[in-house]
Amino acid sequence: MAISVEHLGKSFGSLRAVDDLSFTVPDGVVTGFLGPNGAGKSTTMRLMLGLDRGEGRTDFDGKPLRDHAHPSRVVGTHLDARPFLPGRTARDHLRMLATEAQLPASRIDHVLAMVGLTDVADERPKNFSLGMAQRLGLAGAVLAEPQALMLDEPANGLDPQSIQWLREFLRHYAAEGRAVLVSSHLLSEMQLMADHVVVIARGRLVADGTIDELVSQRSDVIVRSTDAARLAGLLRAAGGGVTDEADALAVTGLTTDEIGRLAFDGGVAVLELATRKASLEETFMQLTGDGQQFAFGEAS
Amino acid sequence: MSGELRYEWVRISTVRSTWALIGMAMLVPAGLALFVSWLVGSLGPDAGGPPDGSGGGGLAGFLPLTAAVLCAIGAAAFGQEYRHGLIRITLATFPRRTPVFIAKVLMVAIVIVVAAILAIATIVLAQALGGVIAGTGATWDETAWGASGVRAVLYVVLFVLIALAITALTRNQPVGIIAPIVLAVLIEPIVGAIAFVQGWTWIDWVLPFSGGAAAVSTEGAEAWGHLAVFGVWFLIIAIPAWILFVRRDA
Repeated sequence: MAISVEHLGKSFGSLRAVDDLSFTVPDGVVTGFLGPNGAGKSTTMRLMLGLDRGEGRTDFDGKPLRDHAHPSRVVGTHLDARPFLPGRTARDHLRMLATEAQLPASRIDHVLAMVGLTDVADERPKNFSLGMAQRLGLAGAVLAEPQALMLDEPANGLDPQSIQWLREFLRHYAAEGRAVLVSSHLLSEMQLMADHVVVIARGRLVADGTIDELVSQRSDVIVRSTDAARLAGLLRAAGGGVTDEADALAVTGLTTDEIGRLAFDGGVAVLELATRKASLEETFMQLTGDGQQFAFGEAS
Repeated sequence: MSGELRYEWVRISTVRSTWALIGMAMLVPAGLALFVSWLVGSLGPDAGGPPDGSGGGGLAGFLPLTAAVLCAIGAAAFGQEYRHGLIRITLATFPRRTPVFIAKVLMVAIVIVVAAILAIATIVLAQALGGVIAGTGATWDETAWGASGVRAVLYVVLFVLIALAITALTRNQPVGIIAPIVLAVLIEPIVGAIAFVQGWTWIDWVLPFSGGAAAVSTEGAEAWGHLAVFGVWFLIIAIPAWILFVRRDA
């Protein structure tokens, strides 16, 4: 049940919110959907589900969601923080969602227990905390055991234990061969949760790959030597990108082995040679640097 | 379509306000009917009451109140979903929008038919009880039976469906509740008064809520004609509401 997104587009007046966006959400892994505020993540998710009208096409297992006999068995969604009527009990909310797939009451009890809401199942959720609301939203998303999940910021409002539970749950869900797309601003959490990431900025795709691929592309090598100027010349001549950093050089485009060999051949003594691995956050900042729709001013 | 109808039934039946509104739609007009029937019966023919000492104004006097209370159920069909973001869950669960629209109209209509029958029965009983209390004996409002009764039920259903359609069009629940009531109670009587002064008799065949009420207070072909006008007004609002529901963002 891979999700295939092709040439999605959407404008709000003169603002191009989503621009020719194409990517795939593969089976078996959690795909993180990243982007700065206003990048178009939520709009993209709504377009994928046919909730917003726009250009392009999204196929779930080869066909649009509307062409499936039981859409709730195809994809489970959790797009809003409080997606329920405050006056309808949690159990009745799930009863309503269960009608499409004609699920038994026992399935509702099961998902309520799974998200830890059994004790409040017959209460009206108007006083639910954000974390409890998120759990109810997640319960609704997984109710029909869909082959794909699409969750928009599901970790917002969750305490650390709940976030850890969510991470393990989604990884387990994906490991059963399902496609899971999760948007989040919590990059450190996404680094632990996702295997594959799609990064957008100003509605356009800026990266699509595994976290290791993205991070390694933005990693560099720190080299400290007895003659930085001479070594920098040797490295540049070999095609490396070199930046001066205090008493060291930051090198891109060359491996530690290549740098060590070039220094040895050039007669420069190397005092320190180490790979500096970028974090997902650093990679994200580099990728989306000028793509923030609503940027902060200078922090004083 | 059966899935959408089941969804709508659970949606309507699992909010307390549905049952509270149906209860109000039965009891408030019935209470008023009881009081009026008792008052008219007590006054007797000398004080302007009917010659036999009975009375109560018939259904036409009380049904607009029933319809006005129940129109909140119609407005909630779309209004609650847009207000609380549920429409995105609904349309992710049922991506084909036309069956969702039809299911909302059908389920609201079914619920309102039952509620209207109960309300009419309660009003008729209250009127009879008012006569008994006044000592003039029970008189049964014959307009509640047969074709008149059918028109009375359809009047309430169309009133509520117009509230539903206005809400679907505006995506605003308060507007869906208030607009039909303001039109029926304020705007149309003013327009009707102006038309009366001007001698525009055709206006009775144009105004929706006045026409709807006339479907209950008149008889025969004229009554059905007024009801048809009311129905056409529902379609005039519902068709663009459906087109927009299918086309615009959820």
